[in-house]
Amino acid sequence: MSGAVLDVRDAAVHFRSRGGFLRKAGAPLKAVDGVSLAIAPGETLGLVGESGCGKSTLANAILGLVPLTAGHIKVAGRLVDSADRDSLGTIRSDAQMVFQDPALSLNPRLSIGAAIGEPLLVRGLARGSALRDRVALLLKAVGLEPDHASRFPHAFSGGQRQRIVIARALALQPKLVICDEPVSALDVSVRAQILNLLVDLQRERGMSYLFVSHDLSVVRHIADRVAVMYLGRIVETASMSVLFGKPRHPYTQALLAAAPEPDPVRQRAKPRRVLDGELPSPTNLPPGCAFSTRCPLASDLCRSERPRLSAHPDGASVACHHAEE
Amino acid sequence: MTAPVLDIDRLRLEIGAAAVVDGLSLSVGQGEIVALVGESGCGKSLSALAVLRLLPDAVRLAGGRILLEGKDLATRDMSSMAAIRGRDASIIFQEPTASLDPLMPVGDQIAEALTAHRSVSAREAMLRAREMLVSIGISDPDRRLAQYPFELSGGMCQRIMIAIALICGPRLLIADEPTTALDVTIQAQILHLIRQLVAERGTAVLLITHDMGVVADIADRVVVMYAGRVAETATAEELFRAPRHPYTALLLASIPRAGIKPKSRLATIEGTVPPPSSHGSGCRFASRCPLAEDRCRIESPPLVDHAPGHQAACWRSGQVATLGAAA
Repeated sequence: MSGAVLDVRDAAVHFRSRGGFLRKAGAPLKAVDGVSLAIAPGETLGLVGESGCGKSTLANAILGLVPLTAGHIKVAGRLVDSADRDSLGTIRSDAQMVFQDPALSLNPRLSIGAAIGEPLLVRGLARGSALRDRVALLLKAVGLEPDHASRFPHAFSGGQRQRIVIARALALQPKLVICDEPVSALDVSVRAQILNLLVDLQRERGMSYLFVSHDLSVVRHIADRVAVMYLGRIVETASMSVLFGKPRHPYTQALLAAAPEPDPVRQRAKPRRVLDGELPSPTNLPPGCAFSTRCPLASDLCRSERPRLSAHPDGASVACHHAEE
Repeated sequence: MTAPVLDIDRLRLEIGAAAVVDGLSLSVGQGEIVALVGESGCGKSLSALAVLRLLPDAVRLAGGRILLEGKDLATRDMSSMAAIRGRDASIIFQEPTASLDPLMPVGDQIAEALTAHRSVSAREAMLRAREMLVSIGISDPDRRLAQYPFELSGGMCQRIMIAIALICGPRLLIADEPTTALDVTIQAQILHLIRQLVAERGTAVLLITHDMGVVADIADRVVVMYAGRVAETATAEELFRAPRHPYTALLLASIPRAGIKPKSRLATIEGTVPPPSSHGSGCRFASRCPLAEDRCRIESPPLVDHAPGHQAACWRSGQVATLGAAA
């Protein structure tokens, strides 16, 4: 995609286990294994999957926090994988990250004004009173008071701390904000405040989001498009309405069936389809489709040949030999 | 209706001089799943721990009765509680791996729960542990019995915890956020298992959760707590259809779900939960409630019946329906 804020091509991140005195080196753990995706300006891509599927590793690779084993990642046209220190700095001002636990993302000994202003100071964009003004504006943008700047993180609630982290992420006016489970550690009522804030900020500033989450109801609310990951691979991408309206991959269908809806009438009317089995070990993936060990449709073909993503007329791409069944 | 398995009556828990749980009453009948819901700090987990007298030292059981099949657990001494835990009432927690002994094969841990309460031989206990694994749908039970917790996934560890909790056939199972640490497909498996065991054995379940999706999935009745008090209680269907407390209504409206326009504004609850030391005489939700009037800030509302089994503690519950529509 030209003009894409994020362009990931065949990206792979493999971790090697080192051999030791009693253990020989094992097979590499394929955390991300041939992932391609793109995000347009102003778009929100939801990246969903269960723990261990590689969604956070992919998010880290986009910021150059873990090296790619193969493939390429471009942020706003700049290659991340071959970036030197300088261009990595530029990339990281174009792409910022918000993590799950705001308490762990903030230095407890740094006032929140200093934390939010630090990116501007480091990149030499503002200092002194100009810096204070910028910090005040950022605090206002996330719904906090400018005179909170001198306080320390412990003085704030979980939801307020996540606002502070978001303000810091916005300081450099990034084109892409990677939100890695940004509301998972928050209480339900606070979760809604942060989701509203993220939607408002995107309307005002037009940046893109890569919204990583295991929570399908949150992704349905905030994402324009959704990519579903399973054991390091993308098994389905589609627009939000197509994915939730007509999920094609059996794993997507199982995820949607398993996610309980907060409505007893609808939830209890849903057909019960409990997925058997557990995730295979990512160091020992089955040769064909990674989902074949748990899939109700799996055939010999699935167990021997890895399905490729194939495009459908409504814009969905699905990696399944039996998606039409 | 037969007598409830668990009947909590005006439970009061204190930390120092502050009441962190203030007048909690609830009951759980045979084969019933009652969800105790609320946000972090509302006192739901402490209430669950209080039932089995597992409260941390700082928390004092300051009043109320906890009747398990008619016997008051609130007045028991600790040695008789040890005989009750695991035999008459069991508890499972959020982190199954933290609840299991890492140095003991899981089969021994299941069998131990049985030998602690019944005079059975070790051999017999292991056979029963194996039966238990089969009954909760674990394939290859002989191999599993010999494994250590680190060899098992989180979902499998939670099944082992359920096996330990149920092997003596307790009348009551307390499940404190049993699926919060698990992935959604595994969560569905565990909830399915709990539902199935309740149907087969008639165990009463007190389910502590913050997840309204889990409540909608398996709870028969719901008790909503706010700042240590019961805000509302109703059947699950009625609570979601017609909440009568503004806190419940806003909580439900704040959850993104099918039928809400994507990227539309979700309802929020402004402010934060007041600390237990600052509670005045009025309704504890008043400072955050869009319906609050003078009376709410002065006088604490009692739980009032709205329909059979549906109670809410709100002076303005008649206006709550308008709140849902506005959100």
